[in-house]
Amino acid sequence: MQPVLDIHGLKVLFRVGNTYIRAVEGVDITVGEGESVAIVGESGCGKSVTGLACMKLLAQQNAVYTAKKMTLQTKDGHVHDLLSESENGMLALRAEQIAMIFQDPSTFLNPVMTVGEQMDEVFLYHPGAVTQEDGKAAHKLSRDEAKRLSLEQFRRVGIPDPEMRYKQFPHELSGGLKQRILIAMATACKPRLLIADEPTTALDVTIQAQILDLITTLRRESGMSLLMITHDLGVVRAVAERCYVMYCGKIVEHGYVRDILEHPLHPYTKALIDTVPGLDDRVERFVQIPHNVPHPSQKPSGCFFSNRCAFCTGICQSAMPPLREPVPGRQTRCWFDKEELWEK
Amino acid sequence: MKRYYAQKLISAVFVLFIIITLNFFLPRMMFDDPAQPYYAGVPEDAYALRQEIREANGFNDPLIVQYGAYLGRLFTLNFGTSYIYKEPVFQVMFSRIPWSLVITLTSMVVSVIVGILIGAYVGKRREMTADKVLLGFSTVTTAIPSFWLALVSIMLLAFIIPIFPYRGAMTPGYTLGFHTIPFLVVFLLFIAAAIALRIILRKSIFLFTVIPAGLLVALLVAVPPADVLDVLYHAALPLIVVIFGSCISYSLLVRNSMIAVTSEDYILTARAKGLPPRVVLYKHTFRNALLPLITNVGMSLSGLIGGSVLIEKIFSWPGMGQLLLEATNNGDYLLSQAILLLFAILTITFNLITDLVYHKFDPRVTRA
Repeated sequence: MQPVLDIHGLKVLFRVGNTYIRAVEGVDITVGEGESVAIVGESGCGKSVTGLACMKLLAQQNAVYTAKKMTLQTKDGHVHDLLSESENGMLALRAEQIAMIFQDPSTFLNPVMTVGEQMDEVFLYHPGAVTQEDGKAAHKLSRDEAKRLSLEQFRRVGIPDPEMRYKQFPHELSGGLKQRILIAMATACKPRLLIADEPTTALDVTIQAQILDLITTLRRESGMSLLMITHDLGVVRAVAERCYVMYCGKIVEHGYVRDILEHPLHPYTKALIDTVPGLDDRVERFVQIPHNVPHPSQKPSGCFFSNRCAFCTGICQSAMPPLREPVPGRQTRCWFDKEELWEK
Repeated sequence: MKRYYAQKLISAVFVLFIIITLNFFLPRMMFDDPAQPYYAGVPEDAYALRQEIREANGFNDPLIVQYGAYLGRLFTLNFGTSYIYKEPVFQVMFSRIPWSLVITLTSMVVSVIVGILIGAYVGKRREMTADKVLLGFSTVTTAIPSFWLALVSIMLLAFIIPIFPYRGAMTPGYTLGFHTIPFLVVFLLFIAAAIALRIILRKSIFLFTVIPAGLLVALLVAVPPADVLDVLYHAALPLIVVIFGSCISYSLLVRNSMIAVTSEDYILTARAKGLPPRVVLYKHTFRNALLPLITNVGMSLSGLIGGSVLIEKIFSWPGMGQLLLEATNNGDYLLSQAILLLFAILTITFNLITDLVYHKFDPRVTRA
């Protein structure tokens, strides 16, 4: 079956001066229809860049990206090649087929426009997505029609007193409300795929749960697929069915969320899981992975994780392991099998 | 909201009061005999006569009584008689204001428009040739003082290639024709139109565009075309000098703020919504990028009437800057007092207006 998003061998390079920094090095990601997939990894592993690349939103001048394949299947079943799609073509795909919400709701809303105006824009510039539904041809929306749709959309995402909120500016709203507005804008045209780039990172814990619930509810209602980008394993467990673990611009492990969280295959995944403190752990120090994520221009030779890996051996430092499939349906980028490692 | 307006208004009135007070005491501290301007023609040794003049003009009263009388005169716009011009100060001052405006208003309008165009063009092309040229150029132009540029421009464009006059505002012997009634009629019509548009279409933008345009049209109607051309011909050199400096600095301001805003997160949101690039540029980037420009223009509005002392001196331009210089040099303190007071009132008023209008463009300021 044709997946909604099908990425094969995506590479993203950033030009800095005369050199190139490799942010993403050959990533394969698929998201099926109605499926919820997570990309998990530390800051700087390339997960956000991957999300932006799917939207073709990386700054044009200094980002270069190539892929063997990067396709998006739209609602009418048409398969678009995102790589060759023109900027004009992308304008129609964004919001209508593929939408994105971001990390910090307070900086991602325009401070000098009311949230209502910002919401209206989505409808005003994508009239086809809302007026074509009942079989009629698309027509331009009047401001009043856009406002009516906006208020309806505000209600859908659970914004209390939408009439009042419509007239307010972002700085007059709380973080949770702002994230709801961003979600309202992203899901206004009922896109095929929603990319959520750490949508709960800047929110406090109770609001986090509400926002995750909202995303799940919206997904159930419209059957849209979700690509959740996060560093939070709790979020992964709460919303995702399948999960990619990313490290230094490469996928290091892939499989169903439950399998990965309960029986990690890759030492990096295991280390990530070990760092999550439990409520009844009585420890002196939180577990941590030694050192930092290497800068993209100073990745170690061989396996990128070798300098931080507890199980590193000679071969790890000399050659990058391939993505193997030791168990059907699960992939890992490590020279060793789980049993060999965990027994050490 | 009302509280915000009230606070701003009260602090403006308070500052104004302090300035008026200082303006009263300063000459009394600077001069041995503050009655000097009233002695016109009275010899040094005519002590009795001088004493009489002092008595008649209230200089022998206690300071506090004088201060009260001074405040009273201010409210009736009676600033006394100018020592050098032998005319009421109010009249002398207001005959100079239009001349300053010719230079300052024209140069400001031109350089803001040019600044926005260049700044926006370059701001979209960061680190490309146009950007490097602007940056390099601005380093040079900010280092050039305007009086030096004025002298060089006189040398080049008035002597080596004699195409522009270098002194005065009109050809000697000519005076400016001015029809007051057509001016008032046209200007009032435009003001009425602006207010009507504001009420009908509910867009304040008409107030800021139609009224200045009306002033311009009214001036063109009121002044004979030959005189307009003569004035513009004489204004060419000072205009070139002033515009040259300020349009580069406005360009730089717009360029910097365009670049800062382009990398803001909300621009990414706008693009992720699938908005066409022109909408992202005009509705999102521009609206935010012009905020610093509004502050800057608002601040310099008060300088419009004041003119530029240096430029007016060099080009013998009969504006307010020159007048202030003359008044100071000749100890005509009633005139300089009135000019300084006018500057102070204008500065306070325009800062107040900028403060009050700014929140229309940036709703966040009311929190501060």
